[in-house]
Amino acid sequence: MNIASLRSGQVKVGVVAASQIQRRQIVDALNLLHLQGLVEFDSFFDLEIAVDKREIDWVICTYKDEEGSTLLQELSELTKGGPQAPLYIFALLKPGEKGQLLQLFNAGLFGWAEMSEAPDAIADHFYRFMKQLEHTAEPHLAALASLEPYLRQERRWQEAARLCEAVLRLYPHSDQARLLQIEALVGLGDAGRAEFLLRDMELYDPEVAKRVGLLRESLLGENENHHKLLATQHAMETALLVEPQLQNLELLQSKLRELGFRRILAFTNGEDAAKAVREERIHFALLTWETPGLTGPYLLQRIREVGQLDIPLIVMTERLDRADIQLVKDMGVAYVLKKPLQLEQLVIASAWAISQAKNPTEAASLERKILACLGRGDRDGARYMFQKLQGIPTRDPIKDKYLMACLLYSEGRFAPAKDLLIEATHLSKGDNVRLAAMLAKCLIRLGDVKAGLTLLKKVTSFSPKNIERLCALAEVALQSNDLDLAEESLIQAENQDPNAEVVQETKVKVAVVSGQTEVALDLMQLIAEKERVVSYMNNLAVAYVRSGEIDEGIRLYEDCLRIIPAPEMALQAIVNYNMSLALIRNRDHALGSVYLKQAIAKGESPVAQRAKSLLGRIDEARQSGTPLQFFDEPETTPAPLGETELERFPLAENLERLRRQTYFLQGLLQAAKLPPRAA
Amino acid sequence: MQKSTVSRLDRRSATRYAVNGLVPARLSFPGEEAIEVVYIDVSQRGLGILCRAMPIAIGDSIELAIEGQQPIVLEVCWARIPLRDASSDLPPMLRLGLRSRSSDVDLVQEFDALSCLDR
Repeated sequence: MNIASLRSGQVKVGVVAASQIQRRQIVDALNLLHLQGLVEFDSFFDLEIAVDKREIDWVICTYKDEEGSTLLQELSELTKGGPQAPLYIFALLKPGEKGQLLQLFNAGLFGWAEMSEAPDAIADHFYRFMKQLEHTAEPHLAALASLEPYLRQERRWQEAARLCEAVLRLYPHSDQARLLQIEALVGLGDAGRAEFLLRDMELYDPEVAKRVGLLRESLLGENENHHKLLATQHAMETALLVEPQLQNLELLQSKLRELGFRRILAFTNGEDAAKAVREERIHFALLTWETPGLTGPYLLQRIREVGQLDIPLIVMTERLDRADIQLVKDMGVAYVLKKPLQLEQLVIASAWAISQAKNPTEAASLERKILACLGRGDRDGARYMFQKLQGIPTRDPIKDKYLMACLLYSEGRFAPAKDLLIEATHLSKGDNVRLAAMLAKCLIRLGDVKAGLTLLKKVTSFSPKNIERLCALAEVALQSNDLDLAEESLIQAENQDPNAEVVQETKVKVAVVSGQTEVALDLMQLIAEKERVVSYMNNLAVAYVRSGEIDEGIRLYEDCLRIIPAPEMALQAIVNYNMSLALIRNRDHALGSVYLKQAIAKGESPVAQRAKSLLGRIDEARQSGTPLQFFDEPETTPAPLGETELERFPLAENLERLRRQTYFLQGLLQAAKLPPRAA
Repeated sequence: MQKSTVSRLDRRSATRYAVNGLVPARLSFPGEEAIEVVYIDVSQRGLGILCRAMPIAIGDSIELAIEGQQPIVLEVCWARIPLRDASSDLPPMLRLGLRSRSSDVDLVQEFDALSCLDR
């Protein structure tokens, strides 16, 4: 729809006014614009007949016709019986009639201007409106643009906010509606939400840039003359840079400084970079894939391993093989740049990755954010991001199901997660490694260890460089009593990065399950995060005790106590308490009481109260000469006591690996029911 | 006549897939040097990219040359300015939406065959 079509006469324009003089003024104005195809009407009734015959496409009118009927009545008549062929109505209103504007727009008015006696002023208003329409792909937005000055002038913020919400549901990318919504929220006193929405406007139409700037200045206190550098703006201080060529390293450092990073940890080899990552919090990483010492794929996993889950990561490489490509996807790499590097491309990709990491607007960035939130156990954050993702109508439906399944899994709803993953697998063409890996996890949690193992084996064949997955395969193999597969997977992981923490931990687990406790204790010395292994050993001991292998359980508890760092009193208390339960279950009340006292002596801990209560009951039973019956007759016990799994008292909060130990435990309990493993 | 960056409403409706990996392709105005771009996402007939700001107009043609294949002609259908608040040291950027003129083109298939789609 443009002014040219009105000038050509192809589009017929009906003119209705409150008097002949006004009608003349309007026609004169339209003649000034060289509009053809003008048809004059005395009344809205006559116009309606022409509209019904599809003789009129556009209407320019005053609020009343010569017979005193109003435009509002006419619009109600025209819209009776549902949507008709499009009819564009532009009204010229006197100041006293503006109060009807909201109702008029609600009834289908398209645009308006103040009535003037001067034809050139009318022509000017109409021309501007038509020009605005030419730039707008959606007519609703032109109508909003026409109504907007009135809403702002009259401070009708409530109506403006409601209207914008409705428009944004239809056109989520409308900058115009978003900006009006922000202003309306400020007008309604909700500055917090207004600020949030404004910060969220990462991309916008150049035409509204000035308005965004003004709003930012007034709401966020930003000033055009005081630009902050991008990384500083997003509170990112430290960047990790790994590039083997010294000359390139310096150049890249200067580029990262230009982006606003104050500290750049620059390395020419991967091993040093991995050490730095363990000690320092980084906010951004730029890695060359082909790096001496520890190559890109393994450095990348070390970064993720230490919990730096949502830092934007850019990889520079000459080539990527199939396994690399899968790893890049698994590890949430933001962008892969081709070497030799184009600096302009590097700057654009880095700036984009930084800004998307902080305020994700793209589906892929939101997805990375959701997975990072889940990785650190932030379910609320993941839900929030997932809702935000739902606002992108073009998101990938397979990813949508995958992410929903990840959310359900994190909430312990494994069965619906599994169903979603199966649906997604059907939709997906070819092998989707992440879907299959997640499905395997669900199956294992649902007790189908065998199917989970088969799937996980297939997954690791597609992504052989994913060390954590290889270790997961080793653990699941342990659950299924397949020690050979466990060792094979462990060796495969070890060959790639023997110093990865997850490899070390899996080695301990394999040693523990295969009965090599001494070896496990030696290996423990190399492990930084001993708590995770303690938790694993504790859970394993609980499982042994529950399956009747008390001696093995006690041995593990003792080993467990040996390796707990001295300051971890609460952790020691939990293990002491669990150990006492095992002994009491084995009728050794005396030694059980000793460990209960030790648990109490550790001071404040999650089990202190329960230990005191149990000790009191043992004393009572001893004094009264009655047996302590709570194990044999749990139904008579008001508050049955069970072993305390460290899962309930997370040591390193919400780590994915900690969660995995639950399915390990489930699998082990099942395995205990199976015939014993052949010697 | 001086070209200007004219925006149009982003009306993408087909499913978009994120680009992830090395893209063995280049974009250029017909007969000109390659443009340094960051590929953002792909739909069946659309391609989302990020590049430095340049004189570009809605409807302009850009060629996508995938190694070993005939170039695919795309047209600019919308443009936006991202990262407006970034430092003035950064090059001004444009987020462009490109669309294939031909209904026979399936960019998702093309990019998938190059193993650079995150699906």
